[in-house]
Amino acid sequence: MANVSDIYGRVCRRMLEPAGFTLGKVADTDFCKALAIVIVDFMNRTGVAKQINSQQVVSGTSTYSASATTLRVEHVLVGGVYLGRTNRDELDCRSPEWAASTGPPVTWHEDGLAVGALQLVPTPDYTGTALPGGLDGEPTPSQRNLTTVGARRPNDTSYTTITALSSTIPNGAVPYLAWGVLEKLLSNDDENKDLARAAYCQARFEEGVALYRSIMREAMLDDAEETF
Amino acid sequence: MPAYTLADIRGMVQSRLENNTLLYQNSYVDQDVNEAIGVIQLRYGPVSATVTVPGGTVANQHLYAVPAGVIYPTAVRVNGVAMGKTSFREIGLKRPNWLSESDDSGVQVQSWVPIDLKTFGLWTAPTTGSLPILVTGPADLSALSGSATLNIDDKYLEMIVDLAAHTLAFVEGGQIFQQASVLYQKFIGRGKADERWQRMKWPRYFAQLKQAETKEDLGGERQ
Repeated sequence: MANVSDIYGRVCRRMLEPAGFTLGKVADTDFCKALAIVIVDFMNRTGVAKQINSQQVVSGTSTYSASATTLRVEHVLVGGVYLGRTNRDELDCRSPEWAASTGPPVTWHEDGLAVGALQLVPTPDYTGTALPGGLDGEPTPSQRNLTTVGARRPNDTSYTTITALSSTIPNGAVPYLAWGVLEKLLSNDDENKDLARAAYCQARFEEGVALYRSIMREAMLDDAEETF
Repeated sequence: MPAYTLADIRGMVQSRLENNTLLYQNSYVDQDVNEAIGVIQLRYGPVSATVTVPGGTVANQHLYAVPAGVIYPTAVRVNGVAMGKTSFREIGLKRPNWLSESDDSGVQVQSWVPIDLKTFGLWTAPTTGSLPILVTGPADLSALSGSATLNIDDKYLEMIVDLAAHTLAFVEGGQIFQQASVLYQKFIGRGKADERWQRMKWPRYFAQLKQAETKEDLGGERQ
């Protein structure tokens, strides 16, 4: 498992401060803030780690929020049964009374809902087994609950230069994350500004994102609908 | 296949950089060489590995963690039998209840479902525990050091040297870096020409090698 220090060391060396940021041109806090942004961006755009989370289905409740650790919902199952995705237009055309219907859910959508929310259609007419706090990992179909699968949010929202990176961040991504941080540091309107090198860093970061996305789509057959 | 030590590759990189060991210290070169090896391994996977899931199958369990040693799974065998590959959506649409199905229903364990880099599923779930599961994929190489050798095709070696050499020149900035980064354009060009990762959208990157004053740059008429 990689550490933030692996990224910090690369960034400092490339900013000609191999012993760490001591000259005052860049502060460690600037590095850590940039890293937090870059990691979320990388995880969201690549979806290299998925969060499988189950929560209780409640009778009469159609709208649910994905767990806080899910960046975006890609697949939904209820009672272990895979539900196809739809949208409001399709529902309105096919079944105008869909919003009032009840029964075992057969589809889901996210249209017009808050970020991270989804609506089951029809509205469940039963209550599943209680799961206080939700359950991560393989769902238990007999509990008849809602399971969401989606890109996982990084475990940490802030970093120090010695934090251990989450195991969900692939070791191979470390060099690309360093380029992403460098792009941010070289684009700031200060004495480090160097747009030519920032452009190179951005290209390297984008290369990493594109490569991991391609691995997910072509090797992992990740055919989740693009939402960005 | 030729075998190279870290010192071999370091020497090749240093020779590209006029053996300037004051600016490009060996430890920096070693780090960027290992970074380049990682990029090539991720991009092309020239070194693959097969690892065993600790404990094998668990009765009626569908989801398994990819063991350490591979970057991502490309093939799975259960009890010596090769599994077909399907996607989460495909298996969901074809067999909506797949997470409830086990091989005692009469359907043999026959497919594996990639979920993310570190998780995969089996359909159907085996009812017998402890059957061996073998996972194949690009090897998660540890950093090359000391007298350890890397067995790699020469074409990949050239790419590793190119990548490491121009990455090191990043600290120079200015025209020297711009010229070195032409090697990155070459890397992108090679990647686009490959058949692997055809859906990859490569970044756009152009190095400006010669300052040309144009009308637009000057904001006036060209003299």
